[in-house]
Amino acid sequence: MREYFFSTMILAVCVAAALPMSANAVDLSRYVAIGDSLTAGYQSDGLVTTTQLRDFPALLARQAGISADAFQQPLISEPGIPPQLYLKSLLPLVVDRKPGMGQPLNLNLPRPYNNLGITGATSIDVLQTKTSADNPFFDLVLRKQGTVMEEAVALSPTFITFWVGNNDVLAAVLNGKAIDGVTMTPVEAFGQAMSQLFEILGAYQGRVVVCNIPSATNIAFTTAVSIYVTNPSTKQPVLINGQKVPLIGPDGPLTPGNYVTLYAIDYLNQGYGIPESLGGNGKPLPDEVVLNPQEILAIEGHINSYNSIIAYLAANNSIPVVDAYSFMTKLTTDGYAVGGVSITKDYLTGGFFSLDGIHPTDLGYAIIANLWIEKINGAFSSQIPLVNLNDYVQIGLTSSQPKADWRYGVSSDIFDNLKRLFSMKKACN
Amino acid sequence: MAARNLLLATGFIALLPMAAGAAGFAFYEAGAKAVGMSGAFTATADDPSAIYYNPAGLAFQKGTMIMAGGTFVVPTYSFKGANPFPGQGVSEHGKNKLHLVPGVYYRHPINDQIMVGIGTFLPFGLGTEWENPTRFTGRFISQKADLKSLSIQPTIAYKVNDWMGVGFGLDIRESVVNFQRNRAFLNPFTQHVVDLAKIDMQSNWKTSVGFSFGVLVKPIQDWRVGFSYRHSVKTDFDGTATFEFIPTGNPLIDPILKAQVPQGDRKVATSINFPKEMSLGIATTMISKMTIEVDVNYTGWSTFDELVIDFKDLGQKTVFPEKYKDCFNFRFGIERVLNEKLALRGGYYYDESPQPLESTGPLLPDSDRQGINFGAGYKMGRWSVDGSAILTLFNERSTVFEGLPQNRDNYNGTYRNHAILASASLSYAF
Repeated sequence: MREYFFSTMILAVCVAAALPMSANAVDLSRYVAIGDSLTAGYQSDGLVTTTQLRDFPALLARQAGISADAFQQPLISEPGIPPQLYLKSLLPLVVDRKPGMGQPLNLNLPRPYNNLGITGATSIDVLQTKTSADNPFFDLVLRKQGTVMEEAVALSPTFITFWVGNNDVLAAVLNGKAIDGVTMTPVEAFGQAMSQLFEILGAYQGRVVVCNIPSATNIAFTTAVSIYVTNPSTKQPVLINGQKVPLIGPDGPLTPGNYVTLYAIDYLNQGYGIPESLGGNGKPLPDEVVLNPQEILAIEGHINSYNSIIAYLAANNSIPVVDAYSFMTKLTTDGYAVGGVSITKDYLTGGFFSLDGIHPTDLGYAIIANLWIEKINGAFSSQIPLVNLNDYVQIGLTSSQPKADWRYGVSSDIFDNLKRLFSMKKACN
Repeated sequence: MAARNLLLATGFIALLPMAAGAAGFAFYEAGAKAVGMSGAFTATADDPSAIYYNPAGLAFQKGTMIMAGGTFVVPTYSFKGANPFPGQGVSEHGKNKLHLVPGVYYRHPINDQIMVGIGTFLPFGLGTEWENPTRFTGRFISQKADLKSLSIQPTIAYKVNDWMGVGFGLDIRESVVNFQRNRAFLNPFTQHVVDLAKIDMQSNWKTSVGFSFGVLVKPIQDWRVGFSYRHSVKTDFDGTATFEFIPTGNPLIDPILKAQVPQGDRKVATSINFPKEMSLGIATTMISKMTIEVDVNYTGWSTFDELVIDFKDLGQKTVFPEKYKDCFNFRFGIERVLNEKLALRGGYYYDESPQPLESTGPLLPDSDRQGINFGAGYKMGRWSVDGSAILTLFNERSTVFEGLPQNRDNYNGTYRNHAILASASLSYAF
């Protein structure tokens, strides 16, 4: 009997030793992702199941071993809402919108979604907006059941990712106009909203990670178009007497420090911004597709202030911060290596940005998911495996393609409203 | 140039080993007797291979002698992938090849105090080649790397007195390098990485000159202390790069891609700063019929800080941070003379790798290693034969540290290498 007791003891000790002590120091069984389009999995100016299943929260949940049932998203059928852009031709460059309209696929899920990323949502929206006449994604995601934070809390989350603030400045970039209080959330208002948001997040200490905001100058949307006249087939600047020829901006020839947005492509194709001597119409590019140095200064100033606020509040609440700002800066200067292949911010061929120039590709989202996983593992001593990027770049044999076995229900009447709202081409984040 | 022709003519342009001898891409196997003692030979240095191990050793040798031999190397290296790239489940293997490294020496006394000699050996070499190069997951980093740095060293040694000798050699280095890898393109239609071109970079042979010197003292009876130094040699290579377009089969992008691939032979330049090496050894013959030696080697690998590949006429320059660190090796060797004809040898060495995880990759997957050696020597009148074998065991090395991928190219996983080396030499005393 005594021997039996000892052998049992030894067995128990051995089993205890063999069990990984903190294999999962984090519990993602009820994981809630709070954020905007970057959390929702928006890509190529649309939201659609194929990319939603590869958004960073879905990858994080999958890597942590969470079943698809336990991580529900407001899935949308092909070709997405709005219909996604696709690359029709490289030379000449033609990016078109897919025909048709996507439909919500599981609007009747009888509980809040785990992914509460709302395309276009600002910090203030996340705190207080329940529905919006301008932006259909609030109804699609929240279904008029509460604010993002209310629905998040209602899920009794065991884990939260929070990436909010990108839209507090994005309108300035999209509209080429930096106006405090109109296209940018004033720093004070951002600080107030964030303080309240972090008050809620503070209750989840040890189970929440946040992320800061990348620079507007490190995305393809602001960098894909050169400030110089470019030969469309060679992609090289046109040289006259050995000199590059600047595009014509609203205030005359563009100088370094100005940024031309991706929306300028339509105008350039019509001859705007290009001197008549080089085949253009000699008329200036409209102000809305050019960010001048003052506007850039204002935008970057806001981003820096927002990030300081996020860093301060996160530190006060002992919440780890994913440094997307530094990551995107490094992507811009050095690229991100995948097996010796440099992934860059370059439009079309860089691999990171989708056709809208703002939102990542599947690969870009997978790289972002790994940023989160590295931060979570470092902060909480968990061992969530990194996402295998070979599934995306397909340099070698692929192993674990995301399975499309996510369940969803069928749409309801809210769909008709959405369809009406998106009946005209609309670019929104 | 003349020396190179001599080498070509005599057929001593060796195939190159995976750096299986000493850590990094140094090679410490220069003579069969020394190899039998695990390279612990700086103080013993009593055969013509002293030209490599310690030129001062010649000072205490007697008579004209030629020694010719080499080392066969059979390296095995494999890789298992980790996330995020190339991912779990990926398994890669190096090509199994037999390599031969030469060690040929000649010594001739001028008088009782001065001995001259000449030797050829391979202080540095590298040969990594991966199976299935067109599908190898590291093909955008390196499919094949082949570096030969062969020394021809005229040497003079001077016996200062009965207990001290010095030696000096001019290290005339003939080097050549070949790199092969694929260039990638990200297909904007599929967002997959596709192969754009195969790049083959072949340098011309390049002569560079360094030097080597050594001191050997016998402070008291039955004890020898040796020190040797080999200077660093910077070699600037010029060569030719060819780009072979690899079609994707998609007519929408193939013409655009093909236009991006440079045509014809293009100039390419690179530079390798071979490190300095120092050795200190102490040997004793206190125990009858036995030689026991302990050596410490120091290699100034920090000179190999980066590898720059400069496509001069394309205006493209690639800088690979290598960031090697200076490192120490420890060697222990023993020889037991059984009778007038036969001697048995054995040894052990431990090598620190100079390579950080950051640059541990398909070009050269290095790691700390240890080796066990056995050897024997047999004398028949003026002839003598030496043979030895080494089993080199590399420590398994993962580029993932505390869950974080460390490799600069984001090519992460575990390398597992080992090598079997066999050395033989034949000597004739005139």
